[in-house]
Amino acid sequence: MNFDRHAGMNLVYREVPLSVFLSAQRSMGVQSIEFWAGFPHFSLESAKQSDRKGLHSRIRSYGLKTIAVTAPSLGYQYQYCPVSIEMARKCRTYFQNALYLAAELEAPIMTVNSGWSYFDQPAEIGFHHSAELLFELCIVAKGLGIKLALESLTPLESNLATTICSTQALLNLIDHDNLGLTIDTGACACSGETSQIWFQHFQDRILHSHFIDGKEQSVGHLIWGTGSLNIRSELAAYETHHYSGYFSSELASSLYGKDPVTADKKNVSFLKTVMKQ
Amino acid sequence: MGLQIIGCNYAYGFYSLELFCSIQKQLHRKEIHLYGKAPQVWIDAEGFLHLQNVIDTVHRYGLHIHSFEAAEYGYHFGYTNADMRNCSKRYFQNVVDFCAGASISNLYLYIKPNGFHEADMEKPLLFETFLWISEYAREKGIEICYKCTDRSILFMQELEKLLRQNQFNFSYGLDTLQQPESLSNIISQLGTPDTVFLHGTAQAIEGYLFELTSRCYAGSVVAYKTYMEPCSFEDPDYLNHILQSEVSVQRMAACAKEGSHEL
Repeated sequence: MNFDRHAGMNLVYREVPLSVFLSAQRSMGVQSIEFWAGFPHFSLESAKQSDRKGLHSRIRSYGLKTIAVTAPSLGYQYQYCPVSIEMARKCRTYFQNALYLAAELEAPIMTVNSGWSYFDQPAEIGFHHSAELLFELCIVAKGLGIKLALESLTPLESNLATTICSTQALLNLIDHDNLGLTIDTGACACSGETSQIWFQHFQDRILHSHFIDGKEQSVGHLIWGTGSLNIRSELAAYETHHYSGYFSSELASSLYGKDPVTADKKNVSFLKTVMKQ
Repeated sequence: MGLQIIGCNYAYGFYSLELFCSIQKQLHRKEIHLYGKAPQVWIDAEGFLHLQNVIDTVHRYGLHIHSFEAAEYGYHFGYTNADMRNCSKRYFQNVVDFCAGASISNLYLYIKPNGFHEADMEKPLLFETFLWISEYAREKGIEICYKCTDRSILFMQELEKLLRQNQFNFSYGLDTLQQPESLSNIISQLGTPDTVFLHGTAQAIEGYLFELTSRCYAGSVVAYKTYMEPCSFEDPDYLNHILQSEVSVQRMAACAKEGSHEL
């Protein structure tokens, strides 16, 4: 796998200005980014078309292209498993705004997840709420020429799609041809799964990857070399299955927040030792 | 009278408000500190949802909302981007309106004072907006209190001065994120807090409770994030762990009042 399939991600830079992230990508020779559309870099609640266009120009001015968009969810009000009709209305508007942003940024993919429902209530209800919203978003996304790529979450974050089995159950419920998958290696590690078994099960439905190190029983999305995954065998799985998508570095740990540039550089340096230049 | 333990839904974030309230009732608690995070409590820049459901649920279990805390998400008063700042102002305005609608008179904000994308925020903007929200809240009969850790003492001192200069009260809640000795440090510099928010291990929490009773503290103590043993949400025993932790906090508070160590 070539390093030009690597994409930087601004999630870990959320305590510094966007310019710090964009500059760092350019200085590391990164050509592509996955844009995490959250405060303080972007507001899906308040953004107008001019803001979307302005962001696109800004990213391009650093010589970068956007290969995917992720809307903040889980820790926010907005998530993919709304528990009431009114919440569903708000979540739909919010995630549609993320799709309009993806369209403006010419990003072919938006990553999504199952969300979560109350742990003291039957998960089946949650699966149905999630499927309903994701189905509607599939239709909007298709109209904009964008694919949705569902990632699994860790069992520490959700009671819905957290494993191959539960992800398959959700795919069956949604049943839409505009829905593909993201392998989140951090979430997989937490559930004791690997990219290899995801490819064996889902094959060409896999469109995208959040490619980071991880550990069992941990939500941490870690710098490669600091978790328990074997990067060479993970990459080999992508090679074997002729994966043609991108590898986004979705670093997410409170350890990195104060100095994201150092964390990102350490991760990229590691990737450059195992990916072809 | 002594200190009073108040329940909080923070550790019950993945569970329904109904379940949290039923456990508080089992613990014979009468007061709660409501952490305003979705989906239990939905507030955004447009407004809020299901206010009456929240009120009805809390009342059904004979509980009273002692205080409210905004989840804040990514909203921040210090954004220099006007749209983001206005969006944040609308969110906090809706938080105040929610409190007014639920007859909650104490609202806690936990605004990161510095080190947060510094180039995108300015202190004058932050302070100007504090005054604006304080005025808005006062009109609605709500007092804003600020959560403080020992990392934000200097900022709190600046904020206190600003608020008092503008004829506002200053009250704060002490967040025990650090070590028990930090409690003495904050109290010596900012005076007695209105509320103490308990975090941490059994040993740390016992330390805080003894420190507070030795100071004859008679305010409210929120059992905020009190995991006596490491556990996670997907653990089938999670609720039992939390319940045991809640019971331990109550027992430790009683022991602290009597001056006898439980651990």
